[in-house]
Amino acid sequence: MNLAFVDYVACFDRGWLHRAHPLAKAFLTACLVASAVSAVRLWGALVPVAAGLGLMASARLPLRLLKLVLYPAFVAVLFALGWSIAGAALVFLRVVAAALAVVLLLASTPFPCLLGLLGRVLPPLLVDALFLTYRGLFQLLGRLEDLWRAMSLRGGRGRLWARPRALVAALGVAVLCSFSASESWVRAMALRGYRPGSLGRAALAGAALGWGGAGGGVLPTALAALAGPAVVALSWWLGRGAWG
Amino acid sequence: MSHLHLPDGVVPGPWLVAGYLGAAALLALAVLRLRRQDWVAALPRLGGVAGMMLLAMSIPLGFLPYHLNLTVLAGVVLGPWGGALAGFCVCLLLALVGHGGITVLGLNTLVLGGEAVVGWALYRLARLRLPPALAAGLATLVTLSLSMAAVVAFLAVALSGTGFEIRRFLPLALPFLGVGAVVEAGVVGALTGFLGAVRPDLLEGRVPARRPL
Repeated sequence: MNLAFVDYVACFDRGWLHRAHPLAKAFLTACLVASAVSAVRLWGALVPVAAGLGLMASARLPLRLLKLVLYPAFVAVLFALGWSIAGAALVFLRVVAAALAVVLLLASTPFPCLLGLLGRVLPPLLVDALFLTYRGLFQLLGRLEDLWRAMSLRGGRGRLWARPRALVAALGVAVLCSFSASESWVRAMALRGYRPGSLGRAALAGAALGWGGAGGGVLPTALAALAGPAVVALSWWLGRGAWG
Repeated sequence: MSHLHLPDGVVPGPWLVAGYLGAAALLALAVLRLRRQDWVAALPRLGGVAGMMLLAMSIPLGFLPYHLNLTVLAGVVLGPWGGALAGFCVCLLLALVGHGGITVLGLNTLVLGGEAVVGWALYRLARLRLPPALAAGLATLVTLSLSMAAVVAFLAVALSGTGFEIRRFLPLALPFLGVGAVVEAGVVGALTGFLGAVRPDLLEGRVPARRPL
């Protein structure tokens, strides 16, 4: 599961980008995405791609993360085929650059910190929903892994695909277990004083604490904050006329 | 079509702004509706369904470059507004892993949220005559067909004048999407049938009214 791997990398890797403040990284991502989607020449679109790859290498992020860019690249090819060759190449680079930028953010920032950032712009109830979605995904993954292991031990895994009714029942049970576990968790939280929005506020406070606790530094933050405008400027300079 | 999750860099700027405004209106309505419900029951259910959608979207269907999205099932279980919220959560989390663009988040939310709303309405209509599994399968097939048509029409309008030729794009995309829609209808129908047999209360599409803890 890609998301589980990304979550692990975001929480436990210790490159310079991990030590930058989440806000600076969000700004960097916004700059990379902006320079990607606004590029009208190939050179202009190549800059954010190169910057994304360079940042990834310098932050020592695993190359395996590049797999995440494969799906957007495939979709980009589908769309690109509707244009001429030059237009197709430009659209492909734009899509890949933007995908690289967001992967960079997610792989270097733990999800609660991202939620803290989102909590500044989204209603508290939505932030809670996002948190529970993320938690629901991992809960469901855990249930399915247990189920898969149990079926392997009983020797029934190979035959399961041939019995769609059993497969649906297995999925359905995993989903129901995930519902009831989430409900129990939220009820327990409510008894301890949880109200809608408190998860977002806690994440916001945790983001600041997490940054300091993770050895957050002024230099990585400044680097991340300055890299964004530098990429935008270089992209504009190489693909002149990008804004006109 | 919604399964393509429009990527960044394809749709012109004004449409992105319109998408964000439309999604903001849809989400504001959905949040207001959710506040009137028992959020202690609604939020975990929303998280569970959205997690299931994320999981489904991360599994490719064998040789088909396609994945399930289960938006109609979200509409059936969470109701139209809960389904729209789940659509947004899924779109945002997927956008953060590069699957669907961050600048087109509004448009993608409208597509997935719209599928949940339309799917819920069609399911309720079909339930007047059909059992849950068949009703959900039929609602999924019709909803995904409508969604594909809507996105194709949108692309034709939004990308006109950019050199994009929809006639070259459609023959490549539609066969995958057509087969995928049929597979998805089967899966959603089967899962709805199972939930209907085990927890029929889940298929009412709403959670209890707000109550004190």
